[in-house]
Amino acid sequence: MTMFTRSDKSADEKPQNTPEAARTPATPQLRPSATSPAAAPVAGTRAHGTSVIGKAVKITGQIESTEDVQIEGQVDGDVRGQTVTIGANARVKGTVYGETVEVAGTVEGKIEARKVVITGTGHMTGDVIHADIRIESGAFIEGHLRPEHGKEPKPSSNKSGT
Amino acid sequence: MAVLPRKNFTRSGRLSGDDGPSRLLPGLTIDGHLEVDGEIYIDGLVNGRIDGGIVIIGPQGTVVGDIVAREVRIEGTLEGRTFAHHVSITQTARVTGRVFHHTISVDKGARIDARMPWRPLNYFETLDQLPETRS
Repeated sequence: MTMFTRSDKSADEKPQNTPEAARTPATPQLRPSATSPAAAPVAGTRAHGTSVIGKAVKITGQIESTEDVQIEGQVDGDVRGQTVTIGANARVKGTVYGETVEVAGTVEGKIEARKVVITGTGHMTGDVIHADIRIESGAFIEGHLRPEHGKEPKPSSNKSGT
Repeated sequence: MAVLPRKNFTRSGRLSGDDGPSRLLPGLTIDGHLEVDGEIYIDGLVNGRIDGGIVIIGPQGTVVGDIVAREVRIEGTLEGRTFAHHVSITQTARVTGRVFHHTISVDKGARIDARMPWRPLNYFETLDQLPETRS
């Protein structure tokens, strides 16, 4: 029962148990292979991986990541990430932005990515803006495929000249 | 709203086969409303409301907004309100706002600037409309 005899008042003052000390991970830090700006507000240097929005999740709003995102659930809103994977049972209503976007599920809206893959189970309603696209047999696409990713948007000032 | 998790989803996740819980890692930001049927682990940033079965805010996670769940574990930062049957607040946690709970545990070292009202269990069954509180 020695724990009751010590002076808890002084023990509380000791800084050794500060949250800063405790939250520093003992695990070795992994450097991300991709160029990731230190945008993570709390920890830009911690171990990275793919964030997963599971099957049982529904999100209404925006998702933004400096890392990879895998979506298996439902999203009503825009998704931004490095590599964005839309799983076979997933559904996204909104624009999906990324370096690489892979669609095995359903997207209603738009895709803007350098590399786009629509797999055989993919269902895309809306335009795809890409620099490199692969479409597997069985995929459904209703919309325009525009190889304009990374290019300047068409200047709208043309009208003034005419 | 039922906050109990539904187990054994039968839909086939063919692309990944990943039945694991949802996890939001550092670098990820969500602005909006999350409805989770089960467990979610948050090491990213969420601005908005979370409805879930089990909500875990990891050491690097931040939630600004309201959480309604059966169980909430806070290892990171919460600015806002929690409504949960059981709440555990660990050493690394920083909590501001209100923690509505039926049972609670708080580890030494946690920084809490919050009210922690106790509520009977049936209070949590009727939380479709969250109460207005002043922070």
